[in-house]
Amino acid sequence: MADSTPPPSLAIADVHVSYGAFHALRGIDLAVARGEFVALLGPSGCGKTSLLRTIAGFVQPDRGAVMLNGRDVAGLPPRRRNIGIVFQSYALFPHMSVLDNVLFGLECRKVAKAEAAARAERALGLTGLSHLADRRPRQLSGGQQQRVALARAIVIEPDLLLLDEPLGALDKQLRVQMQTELKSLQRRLGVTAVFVTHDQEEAMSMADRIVVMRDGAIAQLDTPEALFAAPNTAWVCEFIGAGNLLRGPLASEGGLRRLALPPGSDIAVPANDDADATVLQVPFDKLRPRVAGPGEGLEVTGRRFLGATVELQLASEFGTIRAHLPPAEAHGFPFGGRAHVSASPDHCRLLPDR
Amino acid sequence: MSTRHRRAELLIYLAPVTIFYIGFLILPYLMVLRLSLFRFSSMRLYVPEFTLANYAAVITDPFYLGLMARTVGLGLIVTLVSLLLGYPLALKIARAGPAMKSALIAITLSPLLINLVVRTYAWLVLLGDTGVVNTWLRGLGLIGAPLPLGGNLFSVVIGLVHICLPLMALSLIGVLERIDNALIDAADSLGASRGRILWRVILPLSLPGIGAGSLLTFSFAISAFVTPALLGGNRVSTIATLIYEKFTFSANWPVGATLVVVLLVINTAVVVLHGRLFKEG
Repeated sequence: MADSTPPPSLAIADVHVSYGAFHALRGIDLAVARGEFVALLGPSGCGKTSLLRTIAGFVQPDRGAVMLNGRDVAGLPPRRRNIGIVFQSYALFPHMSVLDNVLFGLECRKVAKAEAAARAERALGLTGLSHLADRRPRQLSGGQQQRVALARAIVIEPDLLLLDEPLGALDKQLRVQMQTELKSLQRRLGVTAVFVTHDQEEAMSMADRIVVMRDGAIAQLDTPEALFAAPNTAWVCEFIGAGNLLRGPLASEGGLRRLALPPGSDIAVPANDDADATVLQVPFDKLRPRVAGPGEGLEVTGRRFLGATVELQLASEFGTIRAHLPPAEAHGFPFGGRAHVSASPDHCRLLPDR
Repeated sequence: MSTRHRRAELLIYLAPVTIFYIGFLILPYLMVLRLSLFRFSSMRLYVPEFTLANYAAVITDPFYLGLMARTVGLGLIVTLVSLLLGYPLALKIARAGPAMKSALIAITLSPLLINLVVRTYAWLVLLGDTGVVNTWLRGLGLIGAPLPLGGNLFSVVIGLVHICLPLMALSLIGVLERIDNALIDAADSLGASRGRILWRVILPLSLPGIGAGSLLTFSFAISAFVTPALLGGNRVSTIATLIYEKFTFSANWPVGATLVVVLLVINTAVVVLHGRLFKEG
């Protein structure tokens, strides 16, 4: 058995959870490999928090199995699962110092004093909190509290680290900084982590794989790159902001299906056998606008400066087409001006309208 | 708004209650204080001659010292029993659903809805030698002679706990409700057993409620008059019952007034102590 692959850190099979009549999780299957960082991404009410709480053991599933390192943890309370959790509100013990907060999990495990002190010191060092060990949580800033919560969760050397919207309460700049720190810490410790977020940018920037959830089910499970490049439905594309979705009549034409745009504009997609796939997806940065004469092409109805790029909003009869282009190229398209727009069929895809 | 304007407004708001307290609390207390400094006279109740003899007597006489100790002891027993009964109750109520919570709070508060004297007599009926409890127990053949349930410390403690428990429970519920559930989840996830969660998280965080409830209960218990007077059956005397006795049967108003001041000092000391212990709120 020495050469058999180790079981995944976390394996979930056909998990169903309901609260009264509300079906919060409808058959979730998920395997997370050792050391992997997985994001549960979805709008509020999609079941991502229920899934996290089920993994943690706060919620017992109606059906299905949760396995940690190959061990079925059905019926086990959270305290027997050896899972470190970073709560959205941090949930630091307000009556204890930072150090005592970090020591709490070791105290529960009856770790010898000297060893506990050494481990706590290491965890505080890793999170850059050594100088704050004697403070009370309320004397700390939001970012520092977040780090304490992290130190408290990792000091127990958990088999799995769960993070519930861990950065939601921080301001934008700090959030980006903490994303980087969190990711590098997770790498360094090699701890398997699952984190919940509704922020697709956060999920993209941190996760190895993203579980996009919708209505209690997994809509798509992929790496950030694959998800962005190939969302499997119009809904996923829309949710993660992976490009324009154009719903319009498509004319078949020699292996291509072409959108009925005014002359001069051309968006087509390779034909597809899937009868369900009716929505044309084209990434924002794959559209090439050209200046059109008065009364020709599409009207520029909006411009948005995004920093590295400028977004042009073009009114078509299939909805607003958004094109991202370098600021220098965007000069030729003033608000109210006219533009032709085209894209290579290689960059367009057909998605089912669900 | 100018500072002067704001001060004037404050005065208008606070004037009625200030006048009320000066007229009906501060002035009577000053009169009692004055009376406690007069000399006792068996012929004329008191002689308006300044003396500290009443205080000297109360502070040195073993009878009064014993009385004070017993009163404080009664207060401590009632506080402890109320806390031990009230804490689990408050814990359950604080964690109950909204409908269950309303029902349980209504039941907890129900003793306060019954008139004090009626309630006290009801306990007499229940606990006396020929009371309901003893009659039933004898009827069932469980006991031969009646148990000493009434007219002693036991019945006084029961009567006082009955009134104090709602005060204690309400103080505790308020604090326990505000403990974030996430803290309990966090402790659970870190490996804490239920006992450890209670001891290391819930209990320390509910200390302000324990303090406030104990303060209310203790002050109420050591100042109570009707309950010890009626349920104590002349065998339980407290500072309050002795004050009554001094102002009526023995007609020693200066010593009675001195005991009033002593009770006030004890209560003030407890409030100050509470303030010191729970400075952080």
